[in-house]
Amino acid sequence: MRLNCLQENLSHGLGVVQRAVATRTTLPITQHVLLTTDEGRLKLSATNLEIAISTWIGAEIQEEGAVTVPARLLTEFVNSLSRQALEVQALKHGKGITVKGDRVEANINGADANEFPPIPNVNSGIACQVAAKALRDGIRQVVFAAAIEDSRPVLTGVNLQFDGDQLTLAAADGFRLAVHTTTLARAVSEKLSVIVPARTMSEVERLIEGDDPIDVVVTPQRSQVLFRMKNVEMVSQLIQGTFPNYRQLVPQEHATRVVVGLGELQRAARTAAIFAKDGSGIIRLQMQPAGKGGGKLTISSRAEEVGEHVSELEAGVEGQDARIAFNSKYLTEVLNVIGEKQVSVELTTSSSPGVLRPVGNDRYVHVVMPMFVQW
Amino acid sequence: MPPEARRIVLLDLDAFFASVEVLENPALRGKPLLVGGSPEGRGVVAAASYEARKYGCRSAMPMAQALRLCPHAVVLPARHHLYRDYSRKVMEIAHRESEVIQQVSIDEAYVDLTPVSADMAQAEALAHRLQGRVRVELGLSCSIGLAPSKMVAKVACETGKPSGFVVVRPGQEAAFLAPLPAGDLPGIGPRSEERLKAHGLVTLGDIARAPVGQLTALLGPWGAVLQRRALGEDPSPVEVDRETKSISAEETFAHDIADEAPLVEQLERMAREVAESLREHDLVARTITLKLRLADFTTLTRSTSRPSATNAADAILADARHLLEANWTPGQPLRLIGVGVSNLRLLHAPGQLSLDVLRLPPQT
Repeated sequence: MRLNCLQENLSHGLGVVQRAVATRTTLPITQHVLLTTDEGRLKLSATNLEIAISTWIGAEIQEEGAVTVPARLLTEFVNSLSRQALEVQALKHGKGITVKGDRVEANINGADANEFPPIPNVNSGIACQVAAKALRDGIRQVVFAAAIEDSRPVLTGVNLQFDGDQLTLAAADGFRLAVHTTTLARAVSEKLSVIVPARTMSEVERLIEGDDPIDVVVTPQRSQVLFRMKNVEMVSQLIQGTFPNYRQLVPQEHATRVVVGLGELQRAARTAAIFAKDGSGIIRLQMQPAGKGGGKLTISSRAEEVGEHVSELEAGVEGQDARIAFNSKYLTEVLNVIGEKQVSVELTTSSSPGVLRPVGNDRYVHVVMPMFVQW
Repeated sequence: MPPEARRIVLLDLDAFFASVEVLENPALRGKPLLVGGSPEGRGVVAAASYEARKYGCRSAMPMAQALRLCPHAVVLPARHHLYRDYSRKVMEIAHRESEVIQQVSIDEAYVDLTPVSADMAQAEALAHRLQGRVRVELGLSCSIGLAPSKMVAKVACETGKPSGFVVVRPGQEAAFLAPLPAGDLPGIGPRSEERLKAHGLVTLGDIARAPVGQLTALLGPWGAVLQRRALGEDPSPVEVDRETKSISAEETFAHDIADEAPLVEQLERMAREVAESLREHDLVARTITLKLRLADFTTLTRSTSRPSATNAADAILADARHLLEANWTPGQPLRLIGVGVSNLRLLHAPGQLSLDVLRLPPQT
């Protein structure tokens, strides 16, 4: 293998695949990056066996071939160089490369390309297409609600339900549930529900660049999913199992509904979080419908022996007086992604789930369990 | 004036895992149940229903042995996440009575009613309400011991099981303990009990009356402590959120092991044990430690920290294997191997109510 490419392209490409490079592994080859010439371009691939990322960069191919080298070493070396043209050539025995630049040269030892784990090839399956922004927004609004490593593997993923031209993304961790619905650019041929690891979804969000629509293909055995973006492909294992039927967790009725400016609530929640840092991160919300004055939402928090804080917001409050306490992390995380100018909070009792929605947008709903507190 | 007597409840759920299984599947009610590992896999009984206990089945007994005692018992695999959810709900109910709670295991907690009651009579009413709420709201039976100290509350609770409600009033502790066999006192194991018995000390009353010198001669300084405990003295407080700093499991081999496969098998088992224990305590860990003891008794401990905290057996095992490969050469005989986790934090804040996600039916 021998080729010429630009330092900035190689650096960018290595940055793209780097997140699929295994960091802690008993299989050292998964810490490598695979370089392959592919139809006039250089293909870079990495896999930690759960996800595989491939990207293509422009290169002038002199001689076809493939080689694998330690990803971190190559990345660090390439990133240390200034912008320039580079010549990459496989070492004679095929187990490593020489990279030559402007008065710089490095030999990097690697392994035979055949030792690299096969990157799954997803050609057929159930396919659809989704707009870049739609997928990015959908992922952002749900992925944080997935459980971090857990004994209940299905909850560590994001549930993707495809039905006609609708895609519903959902994640839940036992304390909260986030559901986002979006329209597909190209519909699926059959109904489908899969669970994608949350980490995969975060990486997809990170990798989406520009506005080109994204192809999503699920293998016929429903064991893997492919996300095809511009110049980047990511294949991920799916989490096996069935996602819980979460729809019944969204309360259908409420006793109190508050509408408040998102920015104001976010700021008040951030302020409250300062006093809620120690202990359990409790933020208390009290709603009062309009009486003599307008309706109001009072937000308070206190730290034992340190101090306390109260903020009052103007708010539209329908229904009864209500009070509820939330974990500050859960509250700020949902407010950070909810979008729109106003947010509504629906409550039934102080020990039943609260429901947050962006006002004027019925594509997102977030259910969060309160905390038990002494008022 | 002695300081005001405390009023402490020990709440202990009766045959907890088995009771939860019955709630989940009422058809099991009245049948002898064994929850735990399969008899083929050398599994042990994690919980036995009272119907199974009639046949002599006990927790920690090998499943195969339990099935010999009670061949018609229904054997179920343990579903820890389910028990944890119920356990959390019980603790939520307990939190309504008092904020001073020390959960000591998945099915047991001390609740200090001293700050929320004026006297024993009032504490008794609160404890009754607590037991009733657990029964009515969750359908679970629990036993309650109410006493001026943790230790006496614990013993009182044990004597009443199942569905017991035993109150020991201040000043009555020694009289309550006196007729009980010595082994009922936490801290007296079977071996100490044997030794005491050999010297005619059979009941806690015998220990309370024995000359201190005789006890210390038999058990060392611990003997003096035991006597005070046999009199009902236990000043230890109910420790809220008692922090667990680390959790570990280790195994000393009967014969040194030098092959990788059996070591990895041990690691797998221990990783599962540690992960289960993390989940029981609602904890996640960031640091994983491997302990090795070589044939010459040299002991190594090596740790690694993860980017995100975990309670998953797979993750703990992967790190432990990684550490093993980095610190041990196949063929080198080992006397002991162990896995531990530290750098712990609570999976969620105390008081956080949970969403019943996994109790839902799956999507169709």
